[in-house]
Amino acid sequence: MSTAISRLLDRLTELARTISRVIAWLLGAMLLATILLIAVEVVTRKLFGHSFRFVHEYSGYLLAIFSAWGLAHTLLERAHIRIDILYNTASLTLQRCMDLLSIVSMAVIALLIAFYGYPLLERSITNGSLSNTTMSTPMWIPHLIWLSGYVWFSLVTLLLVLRGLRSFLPAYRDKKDPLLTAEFHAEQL
Amino acid sequence: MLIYLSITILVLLLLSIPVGATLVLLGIGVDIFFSPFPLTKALGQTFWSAANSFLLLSIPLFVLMGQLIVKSGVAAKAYQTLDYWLSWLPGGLLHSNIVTSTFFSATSGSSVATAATISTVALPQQKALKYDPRLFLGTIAAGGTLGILIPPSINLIVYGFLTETSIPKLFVAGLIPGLLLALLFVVASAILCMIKPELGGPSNKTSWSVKFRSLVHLLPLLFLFAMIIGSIYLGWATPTESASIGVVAALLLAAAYRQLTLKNLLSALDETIKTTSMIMLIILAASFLNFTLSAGGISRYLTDFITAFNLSDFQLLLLVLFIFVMLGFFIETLSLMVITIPIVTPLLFGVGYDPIWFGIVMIIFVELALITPPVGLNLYIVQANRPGEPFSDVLVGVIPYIIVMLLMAALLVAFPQIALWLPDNIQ
Repeated sequence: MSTAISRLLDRLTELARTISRVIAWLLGAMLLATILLIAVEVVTRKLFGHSFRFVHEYSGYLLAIFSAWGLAHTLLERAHIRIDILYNTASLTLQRCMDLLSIVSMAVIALLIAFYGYPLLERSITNGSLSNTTMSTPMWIPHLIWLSGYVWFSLVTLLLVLRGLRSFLPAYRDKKDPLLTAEFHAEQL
Repeated sequence: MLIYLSITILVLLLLSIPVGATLVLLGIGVDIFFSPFPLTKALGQTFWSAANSFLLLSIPLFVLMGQLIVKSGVAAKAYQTLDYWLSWLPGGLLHSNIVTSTFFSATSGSSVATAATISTVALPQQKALKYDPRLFLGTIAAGGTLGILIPPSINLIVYGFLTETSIPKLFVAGLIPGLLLALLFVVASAILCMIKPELGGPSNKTSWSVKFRSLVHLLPLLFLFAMIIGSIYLGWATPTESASIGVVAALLLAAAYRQLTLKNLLSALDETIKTTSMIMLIILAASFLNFTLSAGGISRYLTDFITAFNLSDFQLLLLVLFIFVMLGFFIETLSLMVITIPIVTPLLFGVGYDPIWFGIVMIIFVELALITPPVGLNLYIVQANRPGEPFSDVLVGVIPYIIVMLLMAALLVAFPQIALWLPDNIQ
């Protein structure tokens, strides 16, 4: 791989990190807003017997969206759990193979979830499905946001697969890719 | 199928494949090798419908609440108070370590967060007062594990979700065993320090007026605990709703201690998102695996297994607990729970063990896994705060508490009422 492609890869990863971090902030803001809504809902229900039904329904969607869109940020911050007991005793080359295997397996499941998630979106669009509540939310909206999270996650995993392959090149022989290693870092906890 | 499952799980995990990916791949394997119908097609549907859950939303909320309390700095004040009250006991500060962990557990759903917080406040004291490091570190690592037994508990939410057991009941069932375990930790430390005083440190006498004035710093934690657990039991709020109220209260608490800065808030939210995504991927993957296992006829294989070995109900329980201990040496705790729950709980519930009781027993073994090397997260958390010093201090220090936990597990098996009395009588 020429250095130009390699530099492009680095720049794309930086971009992916920035985007994922901004998305994480958005998710955080949405979470705080939801928390306040739920708390207000409990209080008004208790005091005035008035309940906003949509809070329950929408916070469910929020968690689904959260669980999809937070994955890329978590991956780039290396916060997904890996069992490192053999890893720590392996040689550098072997560790590189394990890193590649791990990121490939993440890419595979990301693509599979996105692939098998698509029919959900397709059905909610073609059938014009509405949620089974007083809100009658058109289901394609939460489905679309949720599914795009897995598509984004797939793209990021593919980017990291490329980095995993790159780590076998002679120019990268001396060090591991910091985005892929499973090494335990106490400061992350 | 059981052999396929055990070998594939171990190989994939040892290759350091992320736990969430391992579980999904395992489920696809079940589909390919054991099912006449295509099951993988349901992957998207499972991931959507399991995640679209108001109940599981309580996970990020409890994580965020714990983060905010950590950042508020209330733990250091509580530690000081408990030092005034408990340091006359043989062993001195060891007891403050345990009891501060207990208080903190009551507002935190995570053992790792509890151990991390208590180590940062307690470790400077160990140096300053020249305590023997071993037992001191042992009390922090073991005391921290109480975080998932004393409600609220993220691990109990995960257990309740995967086994369809009532989470309010699980929470209340964890209370007495949690307090009893804390008490046993205190008694064990005091006995050890009476036999060998050099294991502890100086005992302190504090005047009563100082003691009583310091109590004010325990109030925020007690108030928060009463609000969360009280609102669930009075029927005012579901666990998720009470967690929301808890977050609001934790925000106010952090503001009162002048720690509600933008920096603290952002870093608490960032931690929450990472922890939640990590946990959710594992839970969703476990739901998918659960689905393929039941569709692939796991129950038939398990029944065959039991008949083949002719195990009595009690032998079966012992076998399961033995597997927990063995896996607990090597596997991180959440993973330990999600890979064993789909397989062992149908068996145990099938022969009549109570789901609530077993949830609490399982948590004790999960706690044990947190402090058994080589993979015991709490050991590393405590060690992370004292770079350059021997790790063996921590390993030796937790041994007495491991024995106490096994004793606690034996008590729960002998007297299930320790866990079940409160949930049975509170309704």
